[in-house]
Amino acid sequence: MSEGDQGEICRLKGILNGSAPRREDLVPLLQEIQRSLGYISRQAMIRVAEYLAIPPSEVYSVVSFYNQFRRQPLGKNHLQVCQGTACYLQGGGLIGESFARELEIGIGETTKDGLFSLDEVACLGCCNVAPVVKADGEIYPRMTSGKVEEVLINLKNKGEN
Amino acid sequence: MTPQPYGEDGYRKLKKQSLLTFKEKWQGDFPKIFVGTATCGISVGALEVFEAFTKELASHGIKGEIIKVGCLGICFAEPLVYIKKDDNPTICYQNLKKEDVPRLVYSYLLEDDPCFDLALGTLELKDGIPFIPELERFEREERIILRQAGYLDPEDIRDYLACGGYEGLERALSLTGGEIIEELRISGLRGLGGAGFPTGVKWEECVRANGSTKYLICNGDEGDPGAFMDRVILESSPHQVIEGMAIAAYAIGAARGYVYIRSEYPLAIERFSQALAQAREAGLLGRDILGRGFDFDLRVFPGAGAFICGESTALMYSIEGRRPMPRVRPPHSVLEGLFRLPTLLNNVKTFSCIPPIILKGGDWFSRIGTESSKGTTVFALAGKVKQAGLAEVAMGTTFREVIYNIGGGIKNDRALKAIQVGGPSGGCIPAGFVDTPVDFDSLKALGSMVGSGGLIVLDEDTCMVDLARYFVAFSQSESCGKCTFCRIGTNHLLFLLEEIARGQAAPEDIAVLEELSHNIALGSLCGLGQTAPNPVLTTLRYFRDEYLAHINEKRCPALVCKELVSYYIEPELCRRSCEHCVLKCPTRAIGADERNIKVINQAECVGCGICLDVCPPEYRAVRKVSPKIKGI
Repeated sequence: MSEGDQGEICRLKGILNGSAPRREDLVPLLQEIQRSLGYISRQAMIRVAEYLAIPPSEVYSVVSFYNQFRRQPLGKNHLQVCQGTACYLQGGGLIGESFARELEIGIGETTKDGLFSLDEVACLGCCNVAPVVKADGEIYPRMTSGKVEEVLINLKNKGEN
Repeated sequence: MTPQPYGEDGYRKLKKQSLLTFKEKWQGDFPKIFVGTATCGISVGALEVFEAFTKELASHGIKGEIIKVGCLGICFAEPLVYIKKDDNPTICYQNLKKEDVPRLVYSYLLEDDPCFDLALGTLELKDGIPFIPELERFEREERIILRQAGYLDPEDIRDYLACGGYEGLERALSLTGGEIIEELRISGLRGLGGAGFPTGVKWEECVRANGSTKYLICNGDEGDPGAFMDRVILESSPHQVIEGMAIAAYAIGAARGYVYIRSEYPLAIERFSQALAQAREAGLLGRDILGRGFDFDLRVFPGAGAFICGESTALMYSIEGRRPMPRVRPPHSVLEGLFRLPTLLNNVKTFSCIPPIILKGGDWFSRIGTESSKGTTVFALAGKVKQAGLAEVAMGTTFREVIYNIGGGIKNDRALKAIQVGGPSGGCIPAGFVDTPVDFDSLKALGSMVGSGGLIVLDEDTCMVDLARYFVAFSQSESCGKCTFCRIGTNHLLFLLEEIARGQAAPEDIAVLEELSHNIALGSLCGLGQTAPNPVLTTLRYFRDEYLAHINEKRCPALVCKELVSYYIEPELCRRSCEHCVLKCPTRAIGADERNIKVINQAECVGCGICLDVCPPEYRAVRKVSPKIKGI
């Protein structure tokens, strides 16, 4: 067992330690696991199932249903291209395509070097400065395809400094 | 704040205490600076502006109060700050940058120049500052639900109490459940979550349901990708929702409640949780509320990102930790809901209407709105409108007033093409109906619905086929998969729309689209499937010629559908020495001819639009054409 696995188990034990687990805790527990580990691993799903005394398949059916839950770890920089109505109408689709082309990955994928993950999201609530992209918690307002390269270079430089 | 125990006049004491601190904070003899800090403001730098004010006031030694408030709904002007100084009218400053703050503090707070160039308008009309007009939108709006959004510090319960908060609860606790429901029935309030079911009737049914344990749920799973009013309410005035829920809990006899907020709204969850803690501490939630022997408590349940959870039965399964797939109704959730017990579920906006109805009476509320739809509705104005934001208007207000008087008209003064109301469940209404008074029934007659209240303004640059495709793609990916017609039907609907957008459809496909749409609506259990075809049906009804242009002429009239559009460089307009497009083209599709005029190699072009974007505005040499240019 690798060190990473052991760390994960340790953190899972810390989260799954209540005295009277209830089924209705499932979604909040999964959210906490994702906050702590960055994603929900196969192992985490099995542990949660044991903890709540329900079949692992039921945990999986919930994890796979929601958009929030990831079953793979994220890249270092998480890019979220808003495809809410206001952003889409003002070119959000082209911006998503430009990121995918520049990074040579599809939507929902992570680059091989683990630097970037690319997602599309439905409305970040910044319709007034549409179209927007969110990268590591920061909003890039009034995006255009032309600015895509610049955003990526900035993020790369930020990582190196 | 000192908590209970309450005597008979417990509420009065609580309010008196709050008024004291409130007056100190808001009505002292020094300038007050209010900074809008809802998500919309923060995303464009409101917190930096707040910091800058703190720094500037300190460096000049000015005594003043800087208060973080919620959102006034004037989103286009964020970061938004309003300043009250002396007896001047409150002046609203728009799009403030932290660099503007030193000048504003110096000129207006130290001197007396209000910096007209930064001002948007005044919040009230007074003589003295003639050059800043009062904001027209506030004259047109009728604010009940958003009555306090942007005027209060959402993180301080005393602000809400001092402005009459929880007085509705206090009044309600002296009435019987039956009297409260009668007041609601008189008011004519209909559920503002979209469907418009009479609220009083729903409550009544829940009261009649068997069982001593009942649940209360507030639906804040605002999933429509163009609506954000529930977020603004939860972030700007959380206590009005708590108060409305407490009144409802008392009326139906519920002891526990949930507020379901989508996890994409972290600030709303944070502020609402904080508000809950403060309400508990003040004795307005928990055991023996206001000393009247009524117990009720609430908890926040953060959603995990599924549009279907806006459907009531799915939302309840979600709380239970089950896969949220809607179930057959009946039994309705008022009889058999959360944990199979009677459950009352209303929307954030509906609960927000309860306190004022209890205080001012059902009669007062029923005088606002139209014959069949009482009260107000909140629109999230977005798209090609000049002044995007929230607008709360009386039912029966026309689209024209909402778009032109409140929203300031169409961007770049272009022509209005259509209005999309209600997001993925709604429909597109053509510009010809701009004078229609909006209410539940008039929209239904036009093939749309109030739904989420998202109102997207569309101009000539919007392709109706593309828009229908966008919404169907959303519904398709959010379909839970339970009903065959919704699961497979929306998938095929999307496929057909993509074929049309690519110019690869046949004329008979339109009939298939229509038939499939009707079948999906008929063959689906819940609102998602029943309304998912609305965007297709309304665009087919009002903009059929656009579908035909795509199919017959392989042409996208709005120049949107990528597969039918080419980028073209006008040789006469191209500046020979300029290389912007050549350098930026990601596929190196742009070359130069012998005169150094740029030419796009259509076979290499991927249609990203960067050349159009970077061509300097003084040349404007790149343009889009449809149908596609062949060859080269």
